[in-house]
Amino acid sequence: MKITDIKTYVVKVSDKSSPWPWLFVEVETDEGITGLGEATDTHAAPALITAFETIKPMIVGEDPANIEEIWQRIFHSFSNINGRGFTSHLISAIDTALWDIRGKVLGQPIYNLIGGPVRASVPLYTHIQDQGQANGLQDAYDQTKRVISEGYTAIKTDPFKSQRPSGPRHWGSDKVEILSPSAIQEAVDWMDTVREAAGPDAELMVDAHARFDTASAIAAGQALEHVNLIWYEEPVPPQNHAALQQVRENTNIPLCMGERHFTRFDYLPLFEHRLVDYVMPDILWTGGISEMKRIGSMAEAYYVRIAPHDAMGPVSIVAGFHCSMTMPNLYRLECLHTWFDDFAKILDPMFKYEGDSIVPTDEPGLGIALNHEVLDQYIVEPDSFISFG
Amino acid sequence: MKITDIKSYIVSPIPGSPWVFVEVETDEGITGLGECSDYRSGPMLVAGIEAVKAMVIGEDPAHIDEIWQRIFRQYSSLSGRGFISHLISGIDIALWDIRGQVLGQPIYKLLGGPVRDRVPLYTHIQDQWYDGVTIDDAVAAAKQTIADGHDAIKTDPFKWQRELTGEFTGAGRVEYLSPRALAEAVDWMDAVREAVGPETELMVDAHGRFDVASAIAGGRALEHINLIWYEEPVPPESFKALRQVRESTNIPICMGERHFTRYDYVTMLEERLVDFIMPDISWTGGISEMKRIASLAEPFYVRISPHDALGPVSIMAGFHCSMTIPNFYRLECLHTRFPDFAKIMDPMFEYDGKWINPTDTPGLGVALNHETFDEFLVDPWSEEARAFR
Repeated sequence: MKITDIKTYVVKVSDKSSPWPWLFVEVETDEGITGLGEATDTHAAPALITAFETIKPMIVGEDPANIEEIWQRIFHSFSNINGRGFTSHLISAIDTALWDIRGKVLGQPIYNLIGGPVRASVPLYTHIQDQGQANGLQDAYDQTKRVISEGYTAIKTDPFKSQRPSGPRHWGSDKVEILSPSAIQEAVDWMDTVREAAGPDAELMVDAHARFDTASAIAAGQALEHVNLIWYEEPVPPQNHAALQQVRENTNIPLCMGERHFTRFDYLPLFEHRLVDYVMPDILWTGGISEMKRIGSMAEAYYVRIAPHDAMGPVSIVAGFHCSMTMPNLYRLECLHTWFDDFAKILDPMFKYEGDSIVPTDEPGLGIALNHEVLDQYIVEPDSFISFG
Repeated sequence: MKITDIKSYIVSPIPGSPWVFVEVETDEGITGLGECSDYRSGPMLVAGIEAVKAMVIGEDPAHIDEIWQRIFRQYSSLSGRGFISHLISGIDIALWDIRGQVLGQPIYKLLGGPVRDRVPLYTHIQDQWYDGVTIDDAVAAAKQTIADGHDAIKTDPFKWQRELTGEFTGAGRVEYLSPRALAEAVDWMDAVREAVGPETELMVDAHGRFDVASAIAGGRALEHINLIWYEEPVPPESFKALRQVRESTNIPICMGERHFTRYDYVTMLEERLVDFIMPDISWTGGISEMKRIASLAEPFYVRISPHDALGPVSIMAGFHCSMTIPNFYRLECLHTRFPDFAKIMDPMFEYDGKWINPTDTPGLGVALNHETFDEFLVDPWSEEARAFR
C-alpha cells in the first residue's frame, strides 16, 4: 500500500463550539483507505496548509504502515524551524491519520494496536467559561450547577480577568500580565463561587493559560490554595523552566504543564527537575498518537499522571481517547462537552459517550470519519478567523 | 508613520538555495528589507508572513519591541521558537532598516555604536557530508580560500552514514559513526590542516547529526587538529546529550543555529554547555534578539558568532550586530556566494578578503535591486522553492 495524497479541510460548524475553525487532514492511499488527522491551531491554518503541501513529496509514495519512519523523517528534517511546535503540528496530523489507516487495514480500533485497554472507558473533565468571558459570579454558579447536573464531576476554569491595561497600541508588551491584589481577590471570589456550586467532592482545576510573571503567579497560587485544586495549570509562560521552578518552590498546589511543550524532548526536563505533578500534551501539537504514548510512558516512570489537552476538534478528542484507553497513568481526558453536538454534525460515525466518559467501540481505526456529504456547507476560508490580542 | 504592507519573495540566484526576503512598506515611502530564508521551508514562511500581517499593518514601524512581543506571544501554541521566530526575524530586520533610514543612521549606530572598525568573517570549504567530494577537492578549496584572503575555515568532515538504515532516511537522520567513518573524517581534517598551516583557524561542524557515542568518538578522534570549536555534535533537542559529549571530549563546543530566542539559550549557558554560541539572525528573532542573546552570553564570557548560510540580508543584519557586540568571535559567511549576492543587490555591501567594512549608508545599507531580481524570483509552489540542501 502507498500514500497517494494529503488533503486539508478547514471547517467551522457554529459559534456553539470552537470560535476558530478546525483543520482536518486526510491521508489517502492507493487502496482506497483514507486516514483522518487534525492540526487545528487558532489562526495558523493558512501556514499549516502550505506546510502540508510543502512536505507532501516526503510522504507520498511511502508505505503508510511505516509510521515511525515518517515521524522521524519530518521531525529531523525541519530542525531548522524547530521540530517542536509548528513542525510537530504537521507530524501530529499525519501520525494520527496513519494510525487510522493502520487500524482500518488490520480491522482493529487503534487502542488495540497500542497496548490494548487498561480501562473500560475514558473519564473526562470539562469546563465552565473563563471569568474573562462570563457574566459575573452568578453566571459561574449557574454554569457550574448545570455542568454537574449533566454528569460531570471534574471542571476547569481560568478565574483571572484580563489584566491588559495598555489597550490596542501596546498589546504585545502586556501579554505577560501582572496580577494586582484586587485582581487576585476577583479570582478567589470566582473559585469560591465555583466550589460552592460544585460541592467539596468535585475535582476543580485552575488554568492560568501561561499568562503571568513569576511574582503574580506565586501570589495567585498562594491565594487559591484553600480551594483544594487538583492542579494549577501553566502559571507562567513555557519558555523558561526557571520561572516555573520559582513558582513551584513558593506554592503548594500541584502543577500541570504541557500544551505549550512539544514532543518528549520538551517534557524530559520537566520531569527531571520535578516541576510537574500532571502533564497535558496536546495530541494535535505534540506529535500525534505515537508521541502521546511515549510521553505517557515517560511520565509513568516518574509516577506522574497524564491528562491530554484538548480544546480543538473531534479528531483531537478521539485520538486522545485511544491513547487514554491504554495509558495506566491517565488522570482524565480534557473536553469541552458543549461542543459535542457540533462534532456530531460533521462526523459519521460519531464517537460514543455516556455521562462523563467516552466509551470504546469495535470500529477499526479512529472510529470516526468526516461526513463528506454534509461537510461542504461548513468549509470556510483558511484565514477566516482573525482575532489577535 | 504607519506600516502599510508586508511582502515576501522567494528568490534563487543560486540553484538549490532559495532565499526568502521580506519587505515592510510604510505610508511615507520608506521600505525596510528583511530575510528569513530557510532552505526547503520557503513556501510555509511566505504563508506565515501573510498570516501575521494583520497584527502588524497599521502599526508605527518604530515600535520594534512591541511588534516582536506581539507575534512571539500570540503563537506560543506553535512554539514561538522556530517557525514563528523566523517570521519575527524577517520583520524585525526590516523594521531596523526602516528605523535607520528614518534617522539617517546605519543600524550599527543605533545598537550602541561600534566596538570595532570592521567585522572579520570565517568561511567554508565543502563538507565531506556530500557524495562525490574528494580530499583533493577539499585541499584545493582550502588553498584557494587562503588565497582569497581568509584565515578561518569551517567544514563538516563526516561522510553521510547510511548503512544502518538504508532507504529509511527518517530513522537514518540520527547517524552512527563507525571506526571507518571516523578514520575518513580524520583524513579529511588532517589534509585540510596540512593545506592551511598551523595558524589558520579551523572549525568542525557536525550539523547535529550524531548519537552521543558517535559524537564523543568524533570529538576524541579530531582533538589533535586543534579546532576552534566542534559544532552541533548531537541534535539540538537534548541538552543531556550535549552534556554527555561535553564531559567526554576536549574540544570547545559551539551550538546555536537550531536554538531560537534568548529563552533557548538560558539553559545552555547556565549549565556551561557551550564555549561559543551561534544563533542565526534570520531564525532566532532578528537584530533585536541577536543583541539580547549576545548580552545574555557576555556575563558568561562566551563569544557569539552569528550563524549564516543564507542570503545577503542575513549577513548584513549580522554585520550590524557584530559591529556592536564586544563578546564577538567572527561572522559566518560562504564567501564564494558574494558574487551571486551582487546580482540582486543594489547597493551591495563592501567586503575585502575576510573583512566586511562599515559605511554610513542609513539602515541596512543594502537593498534589493528590483530590476534584476525578478529574473531569479521563484514561485512558492514550485520544486525550486522547496529545494533540499
